Amino acid sequence: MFHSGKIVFVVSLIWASAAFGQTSGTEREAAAAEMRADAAMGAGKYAEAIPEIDIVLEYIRSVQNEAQKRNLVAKAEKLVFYKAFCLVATEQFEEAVPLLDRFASLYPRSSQLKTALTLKIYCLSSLERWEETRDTLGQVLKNIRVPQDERMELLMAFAEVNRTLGDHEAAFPHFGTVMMQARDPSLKMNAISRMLDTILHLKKTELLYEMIPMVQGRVSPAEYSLQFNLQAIEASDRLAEAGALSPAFVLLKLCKPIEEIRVGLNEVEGYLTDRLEELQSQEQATTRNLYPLIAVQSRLAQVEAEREAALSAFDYNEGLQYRIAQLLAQMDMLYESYWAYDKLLKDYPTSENAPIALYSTSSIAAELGLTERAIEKGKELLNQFPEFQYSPETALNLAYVYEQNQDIENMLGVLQDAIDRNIVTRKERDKGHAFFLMGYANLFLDDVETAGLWFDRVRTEVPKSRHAVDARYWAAYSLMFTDDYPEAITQLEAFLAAHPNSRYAMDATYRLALARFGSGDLEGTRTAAEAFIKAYPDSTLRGEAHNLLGDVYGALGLLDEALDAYKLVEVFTSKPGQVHSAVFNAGRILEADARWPDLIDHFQRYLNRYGEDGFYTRAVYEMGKGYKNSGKTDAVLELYWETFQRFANDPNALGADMILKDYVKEVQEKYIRETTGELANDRAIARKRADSTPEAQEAWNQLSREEQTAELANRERREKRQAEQDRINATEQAKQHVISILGEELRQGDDLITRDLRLRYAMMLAGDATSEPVLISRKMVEAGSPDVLLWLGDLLEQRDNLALAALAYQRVMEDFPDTPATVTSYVKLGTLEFDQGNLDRAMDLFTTVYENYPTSEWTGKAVIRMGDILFRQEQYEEAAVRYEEVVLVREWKGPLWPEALYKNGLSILRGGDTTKAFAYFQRVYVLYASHTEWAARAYLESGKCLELLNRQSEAAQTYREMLKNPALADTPAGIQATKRLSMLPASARRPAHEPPKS
Amino acid sequence: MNPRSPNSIMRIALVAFGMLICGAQAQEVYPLSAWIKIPANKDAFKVEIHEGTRNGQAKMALPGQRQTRPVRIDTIEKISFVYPPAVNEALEAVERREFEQAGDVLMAYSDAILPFSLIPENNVARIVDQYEHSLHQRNEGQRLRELYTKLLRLNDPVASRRAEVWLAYLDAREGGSENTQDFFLDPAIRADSGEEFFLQQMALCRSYMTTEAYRTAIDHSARVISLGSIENMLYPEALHLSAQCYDGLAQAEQERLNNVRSETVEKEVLLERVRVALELEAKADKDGTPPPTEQDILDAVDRNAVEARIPPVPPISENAFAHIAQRLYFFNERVFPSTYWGTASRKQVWQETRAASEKDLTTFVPPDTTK
Repeated sequence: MFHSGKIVFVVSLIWASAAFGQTSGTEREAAAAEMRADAAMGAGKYAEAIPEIDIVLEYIRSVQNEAQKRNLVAKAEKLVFYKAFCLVATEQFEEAVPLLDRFASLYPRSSQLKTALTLKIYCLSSLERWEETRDTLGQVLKNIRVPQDERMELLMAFAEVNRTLGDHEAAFPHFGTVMMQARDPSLKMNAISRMLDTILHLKKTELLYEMIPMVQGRVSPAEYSLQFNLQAIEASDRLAEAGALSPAFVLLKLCKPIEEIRVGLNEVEGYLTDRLEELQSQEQATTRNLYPLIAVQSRLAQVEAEREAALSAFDYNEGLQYRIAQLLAQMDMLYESYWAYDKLLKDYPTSENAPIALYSTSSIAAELGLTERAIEKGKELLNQFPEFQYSPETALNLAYVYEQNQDIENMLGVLQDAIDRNIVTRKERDKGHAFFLMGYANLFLDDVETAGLWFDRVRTEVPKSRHAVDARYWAAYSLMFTDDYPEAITQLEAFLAAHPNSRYAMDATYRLALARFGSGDLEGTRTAAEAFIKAYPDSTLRGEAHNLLGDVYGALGLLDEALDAYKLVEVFTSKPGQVHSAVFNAGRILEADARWPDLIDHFQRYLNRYGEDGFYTRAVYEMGKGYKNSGKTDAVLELYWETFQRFANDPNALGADMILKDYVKEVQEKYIRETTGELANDRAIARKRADSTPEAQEAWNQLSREEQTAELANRERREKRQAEQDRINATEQAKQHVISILGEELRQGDDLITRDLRLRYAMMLAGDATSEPVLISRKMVEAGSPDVLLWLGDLLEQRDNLALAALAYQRVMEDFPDTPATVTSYVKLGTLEFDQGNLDRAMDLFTTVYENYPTSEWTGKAVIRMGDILFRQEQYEEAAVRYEEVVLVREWKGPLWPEALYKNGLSILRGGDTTKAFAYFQRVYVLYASHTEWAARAYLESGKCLELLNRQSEAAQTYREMLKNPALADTPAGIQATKRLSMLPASARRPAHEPPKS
Repeated sequence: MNPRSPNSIMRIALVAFGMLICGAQAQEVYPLSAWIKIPANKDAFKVEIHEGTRNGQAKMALPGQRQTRPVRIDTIEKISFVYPPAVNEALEAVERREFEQAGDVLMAYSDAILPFSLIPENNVARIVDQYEHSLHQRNEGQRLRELYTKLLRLNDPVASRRAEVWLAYLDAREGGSENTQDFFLDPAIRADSGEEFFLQQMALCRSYMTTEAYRTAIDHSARVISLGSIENMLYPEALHLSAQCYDGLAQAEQERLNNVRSETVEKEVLLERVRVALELEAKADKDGTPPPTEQDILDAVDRNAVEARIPPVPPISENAFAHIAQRLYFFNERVFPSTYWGTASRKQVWQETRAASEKDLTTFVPPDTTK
């Protein structure tokens, strides 16, 4: 506890010999002794001073005169103190203690009492009489007024003595008080170290928590103590091992980097040096400040030792950061752990723990879904530490991260790099895995050939890899992606023969049936599918297999078997998509077979079983077909209307749009039918009545046979005309009839946006142009059903609100990806983007249509727009290829063909081949004259071509031919043609049959 | 000048007494007692400062003299305030973590001495720091705002910048605005500077919390927890915020699990409905009766039986995110019990957490300290 090293005392005794007053012989001796004692103490010769002081004290004791005695009391007090001091200074502690006790009892009000007691404490501790030391310290702290700095010294000593006596519980709070209240950083430094020591000794880890508030918001004493930091790190390791993670974390967070400790210890040394100077500079420094002087000097020595240790100590900061990161990960605090590792990597990028830190950050980031960081850190690991034990795992993990992001190009990149750099090829396990993933990635990119090569490499180069069998299955399965069904069948059969118990055996058996179906082998498919069901009756693929069998039976004309197979789908699958598909497939068979009552029953049962969980509105629409074909118009209208009312406000009820359209049509037709029927009936009755009068009979009889025949023919013509007129009138009335029904329903609306829009859309279909919403809001667009959205999109385009129109199309594409309106939306949005100059975006949209909807009529438009984009980008040859493609598809015949031909001609013209271009333009107005817009443009361009070819007369002839047709002459192209004709030389303008003017 | 002159001691006692009985308003701290050193004098001497500073000047008088004269603050080389007993007591209260007792006294005193912080050598910081510390521990937003506003107006670039960042953070704490976010996303924020960086991270955490983007929010508070010093005033707040974010994730996860269960129940009910329908249809076909209607089928489905077959969603106490949140709340409660944030965390700790953690603490094998 106390360091009893040599202390240099500078004692200045204020020793007024005059205090003795008048001198006798004994007095003179005492005065002389006093002078000698003074000199000895001044010279630091304390042993020599003791006998001299004794002489003086003896003299004082011998004085009998009361008055003189009173005068000498103060001197006696000082002498006793100085004797005790000299005994302490000469390390005669045993003798000093009783003298100091006597001093305390004789002079309880002495100004030296505190010093005397602190000297006693020093003696007792030097004698290792700890209990007495503790009592004395307690007495001083309790009863004596001590300045704050000194109080802290004593309190620290008190705590230390308690600790030495084994009373750690008592010691702990005092260390805490010193740590918080002492000004002296060296005291704080010792206190924090002792606190930790005490906590560990008491095995009360929760006390660690109490240390934090003591250091919060101020400079932590941990900055001054290397010992504390080293002890804390070691203790935290053991705590972590024992599973006490939070206390371990607290300890590590209390630790400070070693550079801070080096700086901190310099500060402490500076403080102590100042303090020492301050203590020594005071009057009677040694006698008054003996205890603080000893303490400061001993701590200076301790700080010096610690400073030297800190200078030579290893840098534990990296280890500290690593431990914190590890601990946070153990506490499942992954975000926190990530940043701790990240800091380590920034501070120590090449340290021993850098590879594991990179691996950890990458793995943690991947686990947290922080893809970019996972990739960045993983790549860094692979680049810097390819040999690291976890580098193969990291490369494979990165491949999976890319795969999850559908970034297959980079997945391939990272795998290829890891293979090239021998990262994943050192161990069979990693090699097989990497090759397998290469195959998988290539398969994802539809590069089936390359995928097959990689799968083959797994089998041949790493045959014992656990991926080898899987690779064989995928190699066989991948053949189906290229429609190479015969080879797929061969390989699947070989796979099943070689690995009948593989985890892919069931899949392979089912795929075999699919491959046979793909190859057109219906009987083979039937056999294979039936065999699959027999072999794997509990397979999750069984429902799908029954669906396949339904298709096969249907194709074989076994309609009842097909229906049975479709019905079994719902028994063996829980996948709604498969069930609904089977139900509607069965419906198509019934429809094709005109089994209308069965069709109605089929869908009624479906509705009963699935209710609104099924495709309710679509099923109703299908049932409607059954009712209509059974002549039950009223029933279908009632069913439609009820269903519409039930789902009118649900934009996801896709069949509601179909029902509504059909409803409008059916109501109109019924109305026309009934109205014209009634009129025809009335007229027939009236005619019969008129013909049956005698006058009419007589008039008829007077006609010749020829006249009667002619009259009958006239009458039939009149009736036919009348019927036509009736139909025209009834059609108009039918429109109004439907509009009034829908309008009435609309008026009863309850602010249900989707329903309101659907009704307005239906009224528009019925011919009511006033049904358009006055204002189209974003809310409407967000509530619209697919057909309504297309309608709104058109209206918005007309109103020049292109942003909202784009949103309408976007909604269809995103929220209703499998409706007939979807492809239309792609093309319309693409056209909008094209018109706004966003060519790349437009090209993406058109390409999506081109790839995903090959048979749609809208795809023809998309292909023309793709050509337009290429044309605008001056890629005329590529544009021409697109235009040419349009005229090769019969389904796109119509206005698209003349447009494609015309634009093809323009592309060729820009490409420089005027003659060839002219031929294309000519084809347009020769073959498609009825398409006036394109015919007119083609005429104009033909004329221009002829002008370019210096065939002015023919050009004039072409313009004249065009302008003869008023429909073409009034077009913008016609106006231009007129202008160009007028600018041609007169000789050229003259018609061929007119003689040239002289 | 005798530092222990009876006059000055008397004055200090009077000031302290005045502060104690009058509730420590700013005007009652005067006169301030301090030792100052000016270039004209070799030694420091004691003065009494009357009234607040104005135009960079303070009215000072020698102890015991009534007549004051203005002294320009920028002419003083060194100032050492003699803290009155009430202030010393307040400082001790802060040491004891009895923050409420300290507030008023320290506020008045720090207000008065703050302008002198521009003097090259001064002992202003100790008071202001402790006052700031106590305000943070009690989360006294308004007073903090006032303190930082005063610091902002000081002609001290370092203190002003710090105050500016803190004021922005206080805004963020109260919900923030686009300006707040812009401020903290500005590259001017020093990413390598301790407090500024941590305030930035906390502000961003709060900003993301408002939109329930808890993962991103944690990503920011996590930097304070893993990189920040545990002695930092922001640490308890960071722990609490992080715990709240993990709680948010736990709630979202529970909601997801409930939704998954609901969906599973609906799916199972549908399967049951189909199964029942097929049975009833088969029976009807066999009996030659009409097929069952939708209502017949629905009546025959025992929804409760189906629901009973689906395992319930595990309680939130088994949620991994909730565990982390609890660990953080409990940690905050234990480590920072006297702070506002420690108290806030205490309210969130479950009884089971407390019991489990106590067990953890008491049953572990202590390290061998003899090595």
